[in-house]
Amino acid sequence: MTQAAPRVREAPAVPGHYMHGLDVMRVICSIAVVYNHLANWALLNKHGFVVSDIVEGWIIGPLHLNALAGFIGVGAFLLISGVVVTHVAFSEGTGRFLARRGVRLLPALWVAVLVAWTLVSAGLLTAGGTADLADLWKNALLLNFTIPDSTEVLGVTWTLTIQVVFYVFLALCIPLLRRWPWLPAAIAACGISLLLSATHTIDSPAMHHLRMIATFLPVVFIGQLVSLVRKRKLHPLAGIALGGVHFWLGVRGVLTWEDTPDGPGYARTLLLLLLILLLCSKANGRIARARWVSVLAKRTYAIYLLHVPMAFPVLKLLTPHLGFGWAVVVALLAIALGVELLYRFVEKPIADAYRRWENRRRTGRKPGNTLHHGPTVSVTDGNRGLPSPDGADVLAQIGTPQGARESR
Amino acid sequence: MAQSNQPPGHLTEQTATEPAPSSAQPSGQTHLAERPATESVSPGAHPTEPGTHLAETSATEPGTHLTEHTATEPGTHLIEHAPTRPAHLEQTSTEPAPAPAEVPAPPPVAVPQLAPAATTRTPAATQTLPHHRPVAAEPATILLRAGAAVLIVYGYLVGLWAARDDTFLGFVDVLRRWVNRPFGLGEDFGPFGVMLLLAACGYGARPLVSLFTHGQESSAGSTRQAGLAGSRGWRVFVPVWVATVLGAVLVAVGARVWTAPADASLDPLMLLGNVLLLNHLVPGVPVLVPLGWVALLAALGVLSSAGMARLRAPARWVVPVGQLVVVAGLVVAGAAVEPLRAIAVHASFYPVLVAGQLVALARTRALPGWLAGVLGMACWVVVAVAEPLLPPLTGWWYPVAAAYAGLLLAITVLLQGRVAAAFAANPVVGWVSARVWWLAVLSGVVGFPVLDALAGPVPPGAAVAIAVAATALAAELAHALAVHTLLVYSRAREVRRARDEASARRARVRGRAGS
Repeated sequence: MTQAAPRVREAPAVPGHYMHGLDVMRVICSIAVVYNHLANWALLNKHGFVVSDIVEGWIIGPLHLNALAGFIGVGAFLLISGVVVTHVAFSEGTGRFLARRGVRLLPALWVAVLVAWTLVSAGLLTAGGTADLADLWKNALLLNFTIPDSTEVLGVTWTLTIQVVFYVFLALCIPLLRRWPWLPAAIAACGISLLLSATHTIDSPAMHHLRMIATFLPVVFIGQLVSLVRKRKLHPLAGIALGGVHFWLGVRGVLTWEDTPDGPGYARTLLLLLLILLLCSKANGRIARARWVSVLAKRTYAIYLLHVPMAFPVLKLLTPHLGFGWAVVVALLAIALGVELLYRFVEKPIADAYRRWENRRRTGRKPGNTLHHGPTVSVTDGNRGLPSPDGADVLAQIGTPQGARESR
Repeated sequence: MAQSNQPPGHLTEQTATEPAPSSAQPSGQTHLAERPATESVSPGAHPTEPGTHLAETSATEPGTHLTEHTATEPGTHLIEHAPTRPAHLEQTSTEPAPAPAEVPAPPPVAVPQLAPAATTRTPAATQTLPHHRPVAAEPATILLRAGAAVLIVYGYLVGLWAARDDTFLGFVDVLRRWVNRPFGLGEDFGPFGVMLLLAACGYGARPLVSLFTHGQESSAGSTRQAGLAGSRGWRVFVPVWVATVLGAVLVAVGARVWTAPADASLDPLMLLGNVLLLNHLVPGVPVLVPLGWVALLAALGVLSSAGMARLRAPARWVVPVGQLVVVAGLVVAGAAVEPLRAIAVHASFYPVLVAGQLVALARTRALPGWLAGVLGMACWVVVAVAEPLLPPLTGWWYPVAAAYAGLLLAITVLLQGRVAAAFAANPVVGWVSARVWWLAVLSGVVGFPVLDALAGPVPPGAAVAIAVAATALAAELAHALAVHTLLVYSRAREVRRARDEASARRARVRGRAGS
C-alpha cells in the first residue's frame, strides 16, 4: 500500500542570495566619500593632510583616477544600487516598490536637509549663498538642482536625484522587467542617448542637472545588468553587449562635456569599480561576514547624508584651535554620533513602522495577531539591514527567510 | 617615437603624463596612442604560454603524455599522468604498435582531478582515449589566453604598424579615442594583452600545485610535475626560437620585420643572442622578436611554480613573496644602475605573473583568500613603484593595465562556470587560446612584412585583414608542425623504450631457461 507522500512545498531557490561582499564595498566606498570631502576641505583651506598625500601618491596617482578619489564612492553606490534594487524589483509591485524606496530615503533625507539648512543659516556651513525657507523645501524635494537661484544646503544629494530617476523608471518598467529583462536597460540606453544629445548645450541649472543625470545614469543600469546576469535572467553575452552600450554612453557623456564632475577619471574608475563589484559579489569570507562590516554597511546612507553637515562645521570651528589633524578626529567622532542618531531614531524606526504597517495590512489582522511580530529589520542582524539608498537593504531582506516569504 | 629606451610596447607619445583629462575633451583632440614607440619597446613580448597549446600534444617529457585533442574539444584538456605507454600510440601512430606480448600493460595510475567541475564535461576524447581521463581545462585560462592573443595581435600588429607607418585606420582611431584613452590602456592594448598572458601563465601554476595537493607527493608525482613543467617550458620557447630564426631569414632577404630597433642588422652573434633570449637583457642590442622577453618571464614563472609546488602547502606563500622581493630589488637596482635597467623594465611586468600564482594558490586553498588579496595588492604596488623609478616606463600607465589584468584574472577564475565553460569550448576561442604564443611572436615576423608589402597596392583595411589572416595561418602551420614533431619524437621514444623492455624480458626468460 502506497502512502501518499506529504506534499512539501519547497521554497523556490533564490538565486540572488545575500552578497556579503557588497557590504564590504559599501563600507570602503563610504570611507572614500568621507575622505573625498575632508581632503577637499583641507585643500581649499590650504591645510596639509597626510592621509591625502598617501592616498593621492600611492593609489590615485598610479591609477590615474580623479583627484581626491572623486567618483569612487558615488560610482560604487550607484553600481550597488543598480544591482540590489533590480533584484528586489522582481518581487515587488510598482506601488510597493516606490513606497518602500520612499520610506527608506525620504525621512532621513528630510532630517539631514533640516540639519544642513540650520547650519547654513547659522553660518557654520558654506552653501554658496544664504538659505531661506524656500530653500528648505526645495532641498527636501531635491528641486534645488533644477530651480534657478536655489541654495544647495546639502550638495551631496545630487546623486540621490539619479537614484530617484532610476527608481521611478524601474518602477514603471517592472512588468517589462519580469517579461523581458533586457528591455528596460535597452529603453534606458535609448533615452539616455537622446538626453545626452538634447543636453549638448547647457544654458540653465535644470539643463545642467539633466546632463549630470544622463551622464551618471548608465552607471546604475550597468549595475542592473550585473544583477540580471547574476540572476540568470539575462544571457551573459546580452548583458555584456548592453553593458558595453551603457559604458559607451557614460564615456560619451564625459567626452562631450568638459565640465562633467569627476569626468577625467570617469571611465577608469567605473571599470575598476565594476571589476571590484564582480569580485566582491563572490566574497563570502570572514571579513565580508564580520559584524562591524554589517553594522557600518547599514549606516552608509546616514554617512552619505550627514558627513558634510557634521564634519565641516567642526573643522571650521576647531581647526584654528586644535590644528587640522585633531579637528579631523573630532569631526569623525561627530560624524559617527550624527550617523548613529539618524540611523537609530529616524531610518530604522520609520522603516520598521512601515514594514509593520505593511504586514498588518497584508494579513488583515490586528497588530497583536500578526504573524510577524517585531521589527522587520534589526540593527544587529547583519542580514537584515534597512533599505539604503543604494538598495542594499532590499537585497538583505530578500536574502532572509522573511524576505523570501515576502517575495513569494 | 620609438626610442630604444621606451617601455615594452610601442606606446606612443603620450598617454602618460597627460592622461585622461585630455581624453575627456569633446573635440576629440585627445588621442591616445598615436603610437609611438614601436621598435623601441623590446619588452612587450610574450612568448608562449606554458600551459597552453603544445600541451595538447604528446609531451616532450617522457613521463607525461598529453594527447592532442584540441581539435575535437577545444575547451578540454586531457590530464596528463604517467602511464608507461602513451595513448597516442594507439591512436595516431601509423606504425604498427608493439605486440601486446612484448609491451607490458601500463600499471594503473591514480589520476589527479585537477578541477572538480571538469568531470562534468566529457568530450569526445573520452571514448577514444579511455585511459586518459579527460577534464575540462579551466575555462578561465582558455578565455584569458584567447583574450590576450587577440589584444596582442591587435596591439603589436595592427596598432603598432599603423603607428609606425603613420597610416590612418578608422577603427583603430575610434578605439583609441573611445576606449584606449578613457580607460588608460595605451599602446592599443598591447601591454595589457601581455599582462593578461602573464597572469594566465601564473595561474597555470595551479595544475602543478594540484599535483601535490592531491596526495601525489610520490616520486611519480615529482616525475609528472617535472614533465609538466618541462613541457610547458618547451611550449614557451619553441615559438620564440622558430620566430627568431624565421625573422632572421626574412631580415636577411630584406623583409621589413618588426625588430627593435627597426633597422636591426643581422650577424651570427646577434642571432645567437636572440635565440638564447639574451639580447632582451642587454640594453641597446638588436632584438629580432621584441616580444621574446615575455617568454623569459613565462619560463621563470614555470620554474618558480614548479618549485612552489614542491613546498609544503603552508610554506608556498614564500615563493610569491620571494619573487616579489627580488623584482622589487631589481626595480630599485635598475633605477640606480644603468646596465640593469633593461632587466628591471622587463622584470616590472613579472608581478602580474606572481598575481596569477597567488590566485592559483588561493584556488587550491594553499593560501587564505585575504592573504592572497594582500599579496596581490603588493604585486600591484611593485608595478606602480616601477613606473616612476624606471624612466623607460614612466608615463605609460602600466599600473592601470596591471590593475585591470589582475582583477580580470581574479574575476574570470572566480566567476567561471557553465557559461564561461561554454565560451571556452567555442572552437575559435580554443584555437586562439592554444596558439597564443605563436600568434604573439609571429605577428611581428609574419604579419608585419605582409602588411608592409600590401600597404601600397591594397587598401589599408584589407591589408590588415590579410596580414592577420597570414599570421593566423602561420601560427596554425607552426603549431601543427611542432605538434607533429613532438608526436613523432614521443612515439619513437616510447617504441624504443618498449623494445628495450621487451628485450630485457626475453633475456631474463632465456636466463631462467638456461639455469
